[in-house]
Amino acid sequence: MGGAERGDRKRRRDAMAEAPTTVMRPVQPGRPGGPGVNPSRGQVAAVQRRWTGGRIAVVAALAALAVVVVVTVIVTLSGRTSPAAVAASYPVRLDGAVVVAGQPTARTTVDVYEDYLCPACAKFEQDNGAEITQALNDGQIQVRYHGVAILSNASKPPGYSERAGNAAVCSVDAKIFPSFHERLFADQPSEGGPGKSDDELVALGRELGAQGDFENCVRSGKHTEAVVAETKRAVGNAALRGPRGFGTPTVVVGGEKVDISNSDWLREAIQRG
Amino acid sequence: MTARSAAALDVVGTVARLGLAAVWLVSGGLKAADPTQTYVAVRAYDVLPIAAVDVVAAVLPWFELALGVSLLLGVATRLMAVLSIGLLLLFIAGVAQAWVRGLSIDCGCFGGGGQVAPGATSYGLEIARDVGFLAFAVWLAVRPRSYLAIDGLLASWDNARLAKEGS
Repeated sequence: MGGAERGDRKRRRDAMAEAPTTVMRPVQPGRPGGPGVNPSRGQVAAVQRRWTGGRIAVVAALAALAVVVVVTVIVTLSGRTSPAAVAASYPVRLDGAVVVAGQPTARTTVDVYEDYLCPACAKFEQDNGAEITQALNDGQIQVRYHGVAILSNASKPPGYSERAGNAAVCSVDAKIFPSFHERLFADQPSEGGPGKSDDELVALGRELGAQGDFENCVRSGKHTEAVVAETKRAVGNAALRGPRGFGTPTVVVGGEKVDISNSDWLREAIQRG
Repeated sequence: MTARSAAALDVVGTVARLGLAAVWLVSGGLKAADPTQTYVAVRAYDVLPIAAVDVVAAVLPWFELALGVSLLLGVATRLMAVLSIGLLLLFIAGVAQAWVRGLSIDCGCFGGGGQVAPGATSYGLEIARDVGFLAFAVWLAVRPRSYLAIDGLLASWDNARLAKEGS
């Protein structure tokens, strides 16, 4: 193939040396066929006006790119409508700093490790939140939410992960955990910023109908120590480690880490029982 | 220009084309294989509104793969080179603004014990790498000719037709 290619190339170069113009040169209007014009010029222009190979390649490539872009945009936008908000109707209780959601009779237990500043966790909640809520409502699963704080230094000042983790634990006693948890991820502050202030966390709780002394619980950091202890436990647990160490989100079913890039992970976990 | 030096330039063009194709195929392949990581990476640059992050993160891998395939085959090489320049400049701008603003573009979801892996050192490296790729793309935009390219076959086809009609 290389030999033939080189042969073509040589012929092409020879042809170009003879031809008065290259293929891509634009046609000059009014010239072809005019008096005193070299007749081959007109024929060159005629070829140019028609579909040259190069032009076909460009149009085909542009068309292919456009198809790729349009198809992916349509697929994404149509997929986006699916996670319709499901109202939570499941019970929630505390086990240390771990939030245990769902009916105690559920056959399947799912452990979810999340940092409230972790963008991948926000994505996980966006993709799976509605389905998890539905399964919790239906009594199919129990979810143990471990709000760990591994990104403490990713906010400026550091510590948003702990403050958000503490507030989420406070939201259990305030009877608003499902919606508070969802909103912390849906309105997640960006890394490198200050995160939500205590005032903002309290205001969010109030907006969602927090009961009891939610404000004092948030401002005093009542559960911060428990959150830190839970983080240490999670980081020290070899079973939770991936190739790059412990990261969030980590999901465990029946003692085994689950591949959450498989979009059927929850359905399969429920079927296995 | 002698035939020999033209051939040498064609060899450079071939290396640039296949190199750039490999860059896009690998980069697009990795992104397509791990959509969550891609979403997180796009989001970490903190340039786009959240609603647009989804779409960009979904389109980007396939766009890169399309560029890679087209360059690999040598179809519309100059156009692909120009698009590559545009995309690489966007990447460089994205990294540079994240650097200036002190954002952690390493996503930072792998910390292990409250420590975020220091991502600061990788900004410069990332930009240097993109500038290297940019050199390939600029070469091809200026001189898209190379061996083993469909463009070359099409051009010789055109020239053969031209020569036939001219005679």
